[in-house]
Amino acid sequence: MDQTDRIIILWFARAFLLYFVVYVIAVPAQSACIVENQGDIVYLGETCDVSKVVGWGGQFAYFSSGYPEETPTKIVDVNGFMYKHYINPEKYVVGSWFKWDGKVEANGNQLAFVVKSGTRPNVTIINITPNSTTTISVPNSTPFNSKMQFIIARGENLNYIYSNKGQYDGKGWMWLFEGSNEFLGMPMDYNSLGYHFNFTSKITQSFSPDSYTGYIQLAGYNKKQDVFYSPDNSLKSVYVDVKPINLKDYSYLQYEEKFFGMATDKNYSDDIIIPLQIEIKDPSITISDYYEQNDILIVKGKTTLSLGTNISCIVDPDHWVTRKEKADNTYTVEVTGDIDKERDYVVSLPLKWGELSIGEHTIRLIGDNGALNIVQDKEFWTSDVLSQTTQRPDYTKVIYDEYGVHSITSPPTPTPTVCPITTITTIVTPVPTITPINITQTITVAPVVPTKKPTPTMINVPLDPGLGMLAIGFIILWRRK
Amino acid sequence: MSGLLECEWCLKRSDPRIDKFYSTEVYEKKRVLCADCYYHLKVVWCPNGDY
Repeated sequence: MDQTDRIIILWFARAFLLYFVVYVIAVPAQSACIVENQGDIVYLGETCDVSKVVGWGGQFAYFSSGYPEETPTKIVDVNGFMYKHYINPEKYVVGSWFKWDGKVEANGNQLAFVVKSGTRPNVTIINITPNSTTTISVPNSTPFNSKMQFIIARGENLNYIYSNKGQYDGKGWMWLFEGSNEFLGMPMDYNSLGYHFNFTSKITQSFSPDSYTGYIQLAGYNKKQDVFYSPDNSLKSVYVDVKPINLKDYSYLQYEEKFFGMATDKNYSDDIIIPLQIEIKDPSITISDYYEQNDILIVKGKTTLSLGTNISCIVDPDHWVTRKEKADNTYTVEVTGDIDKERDYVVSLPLKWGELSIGEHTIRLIGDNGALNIVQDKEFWTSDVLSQTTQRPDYTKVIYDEYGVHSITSPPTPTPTVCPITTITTIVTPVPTITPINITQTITVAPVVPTKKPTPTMINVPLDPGLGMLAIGFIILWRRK
Repeated sequence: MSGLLECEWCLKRSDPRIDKFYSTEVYEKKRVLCADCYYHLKVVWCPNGDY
């Protein structure tokens, strides 16, 4: 490899590095904000990527009539900043905005996005599984015309079943006046269980938290939808002699009244009209109370998550290291209650206030139903305070949170001090015995002092007086010699 | 909120690791009081402990 080859390879390496930095790192960063697809919701004040909806005209138009084939009321120029386009509240108004190429032409301008006021709710959605559907089923015994109402959490996947079939089986439509024309007379599926409407996660996510009214419209004896919404923004009847209502002449707030009036007029409609009220709420889990009872911690609260959702509770989740420890200390219950109110949950888990260490603690609740995953933490603290219930001040433990003192544990009961049991081992040293001997010459025999504890195997040989006398005799004779 | 404990009498919040708090019975309920309120209640207002 000569010098020229090395230079070529070096330049290729630099070019690749440049490509990597520009196209792999920098370009996706342009689209890091919210990407708007056709018909998506965007909130005033947001910055979003409108590259997919801007069209070649580079402008968006708003029509106060809601009819995109007339002269626009407002036009906003994108000016090339389509990846980070600011939905300026001074330029944009709430409503449907369309692509605009400067010309008024029939069916030529398509919907770009819908601008709403307020802020985009911060919802964590994981693993949106189409199968994880909550079913609301209205029993057969429900009388016609009784109002259907329920609460849905945003992002929830809800299958609504109206099973009150009666004699009008077959065709049904859902009317929901939520700010757009999308749900004005949406057909409902029908099977042996009843009339179905699937509020997908995308649909419920697109709604702002609010209360929405609407109707279920069931076909009467003629098995036809006597009043329907026409794409030219009017309410029409199947009967040609009935004059349509041009909705362009009314504000959106009057649409519901106009539909109800027309659909319940017995002169030209025998449809069954059932009032509907849907409350869309942000997914939430709230703790209304927590307390210890018989060494059990009870956590109670409300949630907007659907019935049957699993709510798990763990105290001090960061305290547990392994997955098994976390699982062993997590307690799960199912959400119960009514469809038209916030649902209830009660979790109980073994815990003693007195055993909690001094400092900060967390109760973590996790609501998971496949479509939504909500994590709610509740922090509380424990501290020792001086207790004056006894003559001698002592410490007692207090549990408190951001709202103040939550509970005070009972002061510790003084327990009598018990001396530890000790075993005293006594070693008895055997005293050496001195046997007196009768001799003429005084001999002092030094007592034998044992240098170590005598072992049980030691044989004590008794001192025979006869042998002693014999030994002394030998010594005397030997010395005289 | 970073672990501040609230006196149930004067509602003043402070860190129990720094300021002394007392638990005592006031109006037939055990309450947590800061040292100031505790001594005012116990010594100045109700020397005999009768609130």
